[in-house]
Amino acid sequence: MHELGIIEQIVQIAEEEVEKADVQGTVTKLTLRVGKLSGASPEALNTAFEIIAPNTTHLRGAVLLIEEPSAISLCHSCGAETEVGGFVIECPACGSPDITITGGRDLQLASIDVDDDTA
Amino acid sequence: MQVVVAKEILKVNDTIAKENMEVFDRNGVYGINVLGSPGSGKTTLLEKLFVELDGKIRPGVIEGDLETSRDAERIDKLGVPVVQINTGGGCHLEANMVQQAITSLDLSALNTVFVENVGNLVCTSGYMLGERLRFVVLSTTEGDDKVSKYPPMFQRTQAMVINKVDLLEFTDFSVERAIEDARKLNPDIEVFTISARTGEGIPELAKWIVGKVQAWQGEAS
Repeated sequence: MHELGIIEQIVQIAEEEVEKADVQGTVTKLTLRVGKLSGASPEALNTAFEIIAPNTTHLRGAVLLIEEPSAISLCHSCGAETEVGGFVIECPACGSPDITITGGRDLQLASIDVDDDTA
Repeated sequence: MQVVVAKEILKVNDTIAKENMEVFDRNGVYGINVLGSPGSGKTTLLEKLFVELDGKIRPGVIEGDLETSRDAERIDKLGVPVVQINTGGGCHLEANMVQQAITSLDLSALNTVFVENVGNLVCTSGYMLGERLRFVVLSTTEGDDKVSKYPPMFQRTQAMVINKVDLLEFTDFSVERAIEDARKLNPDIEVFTISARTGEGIPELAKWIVGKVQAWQGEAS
């Protein structure tokens, strides 16, 4: 349910961008960045896209590519920078709770690929 | 050819949330986002709070549910202005829904708006609505493990309201464990233990809310 709303917004932004760029070809691919801590499921996003894309003007033939950037735990005790795939409350290296989590929350439409030859 | 877009999807929501906050600010209204599972007792708590807060604040309510206006009808009976949003399947409120709902409230007659979110411990936490305060209602019958199992919810809130403490003896819920787990995620989190059914703890929570509203009014003026 949640992912359906996200995809609706992504599709809306993508359609606007395609029209703004006055693209002549076919849109082949949308690239999303969905961070490991974003709370959105890539599988559910794909399913939602399959439902919505056929009813759009420009994205009927497009596929979804989802990149999943990890988060980094930066420890203020031991200085370790550790890549974390999920939610952590302490430094994976030394166990200190004094950490800052950077990144991993992205939920972004990164780019749109267009096949110009079909123009 | 590639068109680089680099647009954050939730920024769209955050932008509207900021606009909502500006509308609240212009009208001297303090927004509160009330979160928690279905059945945790959010509406019952609001009913009890409004009785306790009678004459102390001027509340309004935005109710979010998938279907029905049952919650809004309950609030309406107390004479508190209320608008119902039906998300029709959507699992959380978004800022644009609240933006729409605000237009149905006479903000000039209010100084606090409680937004009761859709019952959900997951995605509701990721969507700002224009609020200055959030609290999550966790009931003892849900189990104290919910704090660790749904960390973003307890991390992104100012208070945890443990409800249904009158049922503690029938559950394995440990108040101490819930508080310990919540403070690991969010060291500054305020905790209230209440029973919306018996009224236990309601005066303390009401006092905290009034304090927050007054402190904000003090800063704003």
